[in-house]
Amino acid sequence: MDRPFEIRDRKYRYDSFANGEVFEGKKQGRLPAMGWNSWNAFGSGNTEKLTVSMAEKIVELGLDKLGYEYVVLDDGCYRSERVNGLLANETEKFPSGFRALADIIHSKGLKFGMYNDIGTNLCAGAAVGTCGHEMIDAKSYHDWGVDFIKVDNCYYLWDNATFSNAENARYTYAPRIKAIVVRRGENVISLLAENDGILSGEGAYKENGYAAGIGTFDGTGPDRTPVGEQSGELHFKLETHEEGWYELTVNYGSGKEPGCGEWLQVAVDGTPELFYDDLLAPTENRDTFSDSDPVRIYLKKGNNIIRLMNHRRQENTLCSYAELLKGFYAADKEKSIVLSICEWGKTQPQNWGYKVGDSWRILNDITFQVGADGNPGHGAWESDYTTSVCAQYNKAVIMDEFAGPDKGWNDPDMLMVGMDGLDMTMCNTHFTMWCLMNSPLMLGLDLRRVSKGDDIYNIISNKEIIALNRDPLGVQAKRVYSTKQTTAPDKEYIRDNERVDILAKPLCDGSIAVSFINLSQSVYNEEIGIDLDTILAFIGGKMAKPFAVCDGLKLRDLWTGEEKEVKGNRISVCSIPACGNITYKISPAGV
Amino acid sequence: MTIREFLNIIYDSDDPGLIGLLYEKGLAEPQDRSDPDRDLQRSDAARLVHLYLQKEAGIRDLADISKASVLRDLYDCRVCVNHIAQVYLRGIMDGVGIEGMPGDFLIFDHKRHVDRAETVRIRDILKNVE
Repeated sequence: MDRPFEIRDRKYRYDSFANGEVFEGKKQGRLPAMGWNSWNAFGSGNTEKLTVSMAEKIVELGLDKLGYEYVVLDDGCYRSERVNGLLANETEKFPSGFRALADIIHSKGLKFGMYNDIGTNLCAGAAVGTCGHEMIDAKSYHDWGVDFIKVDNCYYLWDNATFSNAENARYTYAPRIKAIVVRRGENVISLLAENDGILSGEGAYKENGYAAGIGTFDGTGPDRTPVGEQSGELHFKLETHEEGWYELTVNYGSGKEPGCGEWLQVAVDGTPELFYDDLLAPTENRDTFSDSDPVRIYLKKGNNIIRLMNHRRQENTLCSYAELLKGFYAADKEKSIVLSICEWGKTQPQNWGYKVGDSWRILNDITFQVGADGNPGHGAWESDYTTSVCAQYNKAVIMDEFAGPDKGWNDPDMLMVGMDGLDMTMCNTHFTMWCLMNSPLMLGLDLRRVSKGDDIYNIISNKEIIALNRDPLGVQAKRVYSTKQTTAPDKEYIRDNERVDILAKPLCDGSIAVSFINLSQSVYNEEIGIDLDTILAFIGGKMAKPFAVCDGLKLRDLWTGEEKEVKGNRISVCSIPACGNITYKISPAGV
Repeated sequence: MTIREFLNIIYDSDDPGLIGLLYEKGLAEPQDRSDPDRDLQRSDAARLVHLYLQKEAGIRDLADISKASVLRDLYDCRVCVNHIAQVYLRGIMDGVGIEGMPGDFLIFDHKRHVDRAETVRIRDILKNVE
């Protein structure tokens, strides 16, 4: 492929992202995936032998009965080059091949998952990315009996992704725009970006007489909220006396860097088609402005809004994942492989991921200190970047409205339970958070270290906590209060971890899970509580059935099993351990 | 400097079977064995040195790598973040300044080639690392 997808079908367009329509082959109604993934446990050192051991441990520990079903080979399992154009197993680490391994996994009543990438290479370097090979790779996965696939974003051709050419920003940003001219016959209208241009959405800005930043925010890092607009456009309002075709010329300066690219999209509000969607001829540099060739646009009589934009960051990535989905569907219309989108939140997949995938990563990795055989790896409770429990939680917790059984699930990355750097309280809360947030639950440890009844086992096998994640209502918990919150606790992006959050999750039996989470590494020694009315104000509309009016509440602590009744409608706790949580299931007393 | 030449210096060996041997011990990876004569980039060097530290020298990873984030391009190489962090924080491989930028603006410069002088320097440091 020498250029991004030519988009002819509107379903790939940004303007269709909010329509709720999924693509052919996308199965709706699935709960988040549960299982084990090799990356956090063994990095690229995973082997067939280790994988079979993990499958055996899942069964031995009874984890399969609790819902853990997918055994996923992450990076490091392929030969570094294709063989006759096809994916192939690394013969020393996976000598039996993937079909045989899948058969072993299936024989244990489990499901088999694999990994690939929408770019040309995998992140660890093997030149076996699916780019340009989507149909044959999907066929290979089908023939091997793959049930789940995690698809990464390294070496992607059309964005400045990891290992990609940094100059790929030329595709994902519009140029700097100084002015437009619109002509029809003798009528000529000139408009300046500075005076007449209207910035729409987020990210676009004006300076020095031009508009720039016309594109989509990169969501890989933790700096930006995922809520709200993630893209910016430049609009011009134009009143015409005649309906018909006009010529638009754009005065622009192009570049190959974030904020200033070469790809422009032109649309007119109310008209679904784009009138231009391509590279512009590069200017000498971003500070040298030139006029584009004329673009024909159709304007109606009266008021029009000309949209200058670039949504290709999202659209290109959607197209790539959609190609894979197409391949899977072509290989078998009955079977639906779970598609785990792993582009690290770069292209704001919460907007479009539901159309093709079952889950979407929301940030860069939760840890880069993955384990190996004999090394548990290292995880952090908090960090300045994405590499911690809190960093992932802080973003995922306000993304609840993007998730659901008809869409898919936010993915704050795989579990770090069992890694060095996290004590058992942290592991407990990490697991609780992920269950409450309807995250995929992918264990990432060497299960040979786990025995029934030990601390790690007791965390990952808590049926009542797991049940929150498996609840058929499929509503991600909502943050209904935070000690750091100043306005909207469910939407405000809070990164200061010196706080307590209260989450509430409606369940299919009409009860509510309420969790008090102390993100601080100090004990929280004050009384903190919340009224049922406050909770219902946030989640009442999502309840399976109305919460019965009653004189009191029944509380069941989902970690200790303790049950109690309280009078009135307030749920409170007196103290929360550092990095700890107290999680209740509440129901009306006396009912 | 190629992968092969680098490993010859680090392990002080001219054995033509060195890379195969290192691969079996987990001190080299499949791509090193399949393409040992490709140019060595700094990210490759970091990876191979980290493997040396872990498996040859038996040195445990530093748990806290947050200080390595002074390298502005640390997270550009997702699979080698930890390799780079470990070798940088132990002073085995330095960050690189950018001309025209303030002195504290450092990158690792993953794709820059490693020359013989840097390789020898790395080898000498490894002899004394704890």
